[in-house]
Amino acid sequence: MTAKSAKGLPIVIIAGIVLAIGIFSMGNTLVQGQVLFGSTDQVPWNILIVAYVFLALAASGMCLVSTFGHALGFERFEIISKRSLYLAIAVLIPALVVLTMDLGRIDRAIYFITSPNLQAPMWWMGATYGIYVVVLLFEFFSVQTGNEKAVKVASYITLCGAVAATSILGGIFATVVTRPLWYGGALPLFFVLSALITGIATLMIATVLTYKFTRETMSYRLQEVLSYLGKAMAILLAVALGFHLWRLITLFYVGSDSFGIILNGMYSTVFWGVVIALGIIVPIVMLMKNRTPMKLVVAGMFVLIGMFVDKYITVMGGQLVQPFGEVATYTATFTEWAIIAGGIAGSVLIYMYGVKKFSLETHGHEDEKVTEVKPSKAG
Amino acid sequence: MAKNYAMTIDLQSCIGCAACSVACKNENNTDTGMNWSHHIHTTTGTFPNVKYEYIPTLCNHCDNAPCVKACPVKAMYKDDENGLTLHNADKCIGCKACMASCPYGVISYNKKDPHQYWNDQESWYDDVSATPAEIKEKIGTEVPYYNPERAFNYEAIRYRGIVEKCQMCDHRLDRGEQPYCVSRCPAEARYVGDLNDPNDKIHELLTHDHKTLREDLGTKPKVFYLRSF
Repeated sequence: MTAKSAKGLPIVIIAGIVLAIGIFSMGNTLVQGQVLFGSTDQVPWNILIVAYVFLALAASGMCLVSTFGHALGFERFEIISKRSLYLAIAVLIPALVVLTMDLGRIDRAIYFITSPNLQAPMWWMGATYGIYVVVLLFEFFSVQTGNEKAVKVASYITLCGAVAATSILGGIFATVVTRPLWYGGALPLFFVLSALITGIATLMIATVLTYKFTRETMSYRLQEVLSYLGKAMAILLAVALGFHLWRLITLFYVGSDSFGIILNGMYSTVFWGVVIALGIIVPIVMLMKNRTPMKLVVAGMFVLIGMFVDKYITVMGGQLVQPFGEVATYTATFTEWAIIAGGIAGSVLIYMYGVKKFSLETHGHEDEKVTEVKPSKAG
Repeated sequence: MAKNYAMTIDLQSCIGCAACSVACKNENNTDTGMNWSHHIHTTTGTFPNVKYEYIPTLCNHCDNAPCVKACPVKAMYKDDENGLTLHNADKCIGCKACMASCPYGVISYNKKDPHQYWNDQESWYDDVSATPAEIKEKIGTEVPYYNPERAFNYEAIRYRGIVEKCQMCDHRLDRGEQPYCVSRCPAEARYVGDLNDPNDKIHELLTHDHKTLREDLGTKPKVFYLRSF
């Protein structure tokens, strides 16, 4: 235990400093207002929204993975359900805090309850996430207290909640008819797909690195499950590649200005280099065989970078082309980055607290036969 | 019967002087860079074959307004009495969903409290001219050209953290006057009328060839551009 604490201490200190800078930036924003942000009347939503979308999707993805074992009866996955569930909470709560910083008048949030607009996807997102967070916390509490029946019921609700919240979040963008990068029924579904990919990547990285830092040995069974997840992620990445290609093809056919931004314009280098090559193709190749834990971490990192940049291009790129043809620009400010980094540091700290206090490595129904399977041959 | 106001702008009468934008600023106390009344101007071709187009713009008060659908707290709403798309400053949470969904880019966000210039302690010429803060103090209003009439049914000067947009001078329409941009247009290019009143002059104006902006989006905008070139 002492070794664990000593090993984790530098991370706690670094995360603590980053969190402190993030909290300072949040305070500064509350005092000075959004003059500290790079958003403009032409580009109203900034990188905080990108980060929120990215983190909220990761959380939903991890929640979905936790329901594989808790609700859907895939017993093999039960050994990661608790960690996955806790990680979902650890990521989602800071994500919601990051989102609130982009609200001009957070003190008026009560109008979400007293003056709801049922036509607005954003209202539904608020309502869904509100309920979803509470049920997630209840589910974790039930796991902790060993109330299996409550876990099962809560898990069904969070399964629906994760899909609903994620697709409604996509719906906020998908209903904006004037923005070709957003509009259409495909985006909410792509958000659910992104959620699974991002969630699996985060879960793999967190699990493997936790074992590395605590110097505990992973059971073959856990390695096998991670290997399966890696394989599943590779398949989902191939679907994501298909989505991207079809989006480009449809944009090409309507001759949209947004097409140029991605294909060979402002965002083409990051789109082709980071989203497609680094974030999709390289991980697919890496995950084809011999999915060793460290390989999963590296592939997972690439996927997360790709997914973040993808959401950046979608959210920011979607806003650049103005109603009458002009193309605006946007540059994120230090305050925005500090708030995002603070949010991520918050997630890391909440997770590390969980590792220490809630024994997240609790195994489900241990099956001796499976533990003998070599990870590299699994799947 | 409830009214359904709409505006016509005669592009062959419009001389592109931007008096509408200046008048709007006077009437609605908007800060620099905050343009409820704006314009698009495009120059195409090369000399001598050049085409110049000037289109005054403002909130289109769409019948199928995307901003109203996007606002999570009904701060942006359709007024049943006059058919206008209005903003309730007291309810706005500053989420900017309306801005992201507006196809015309006519909603602005207050990143800071407006009219900060008038708190400035530096004069243009020391010991010759007064500082903006001194002028403000002497006059006793937020801005020297403050129009208190705007406060009739909207926040007279909006504040940090909320959006704002053209209200079609609903405070003037309420007492039977035309919006200020209409009455100050030297070319009399603008008119606001009631689409629900068959005797209103607007129906006669709409017999001219007319168009609206981005009709393809299905937003049913209510600013009609007459007689474009």
